[in-house]
Amino acid sequence: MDFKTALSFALPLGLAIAALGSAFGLGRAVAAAMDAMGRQPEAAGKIQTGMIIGCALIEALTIYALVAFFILQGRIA
Amino acid sequence: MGLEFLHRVMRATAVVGVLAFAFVALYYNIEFAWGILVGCAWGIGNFWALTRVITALVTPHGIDRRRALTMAAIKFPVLYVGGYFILTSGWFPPLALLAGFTILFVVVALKAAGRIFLHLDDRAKRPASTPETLGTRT
Repeated sequence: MDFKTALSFALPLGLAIAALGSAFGLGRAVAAAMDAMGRQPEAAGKIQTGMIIGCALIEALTIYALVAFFILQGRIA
Repeated sequence: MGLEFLHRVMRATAVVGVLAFAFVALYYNIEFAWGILVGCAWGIGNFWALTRVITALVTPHGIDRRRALTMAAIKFPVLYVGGYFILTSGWFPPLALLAGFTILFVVVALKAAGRIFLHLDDRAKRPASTPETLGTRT
């Protein structure tokens, strides 16, 4: 197996793993935030702020994987 | 630290993005500078949409379905379809886009670190008339 074939297999697999991890992370973050808001509705603003920053960071990791995909895709062809 | 923190972050990111654009255009490469600016705009747009979606969907006061659906319909095209076209267009270097997209997170991290090191949240909680706060006034 040469370099290009290995990259062709690894790229979509890596992106899929990144997307899966991001989905799990977002799901856990939102579930925990909903739970916390249910317990303390008066702290909803602070919980939302923390959750938004956390969700943005989780999403950013997926975007980085997507950009890495596009950068490395150019080396296959 | 409420939602106004996020608005300040977006404003600060826009300022840093414009400054980075001017600096990189002057000292490095105009194409790379445009990439940073577009990446920064992409990051801000994504963050703004994420803020609106979450405040509409994750709230203890009941969901406004129309608003939530509208924001979700805006957010996902902005993030993924917009990002796909930006990346595949070939107009901007992907590394520049990545650098611009990262500015927002650097700003968040620095602002949060500043709040921790300057004890801003503690000062907001403390009553104005305590001896500790009186002692710090000049």
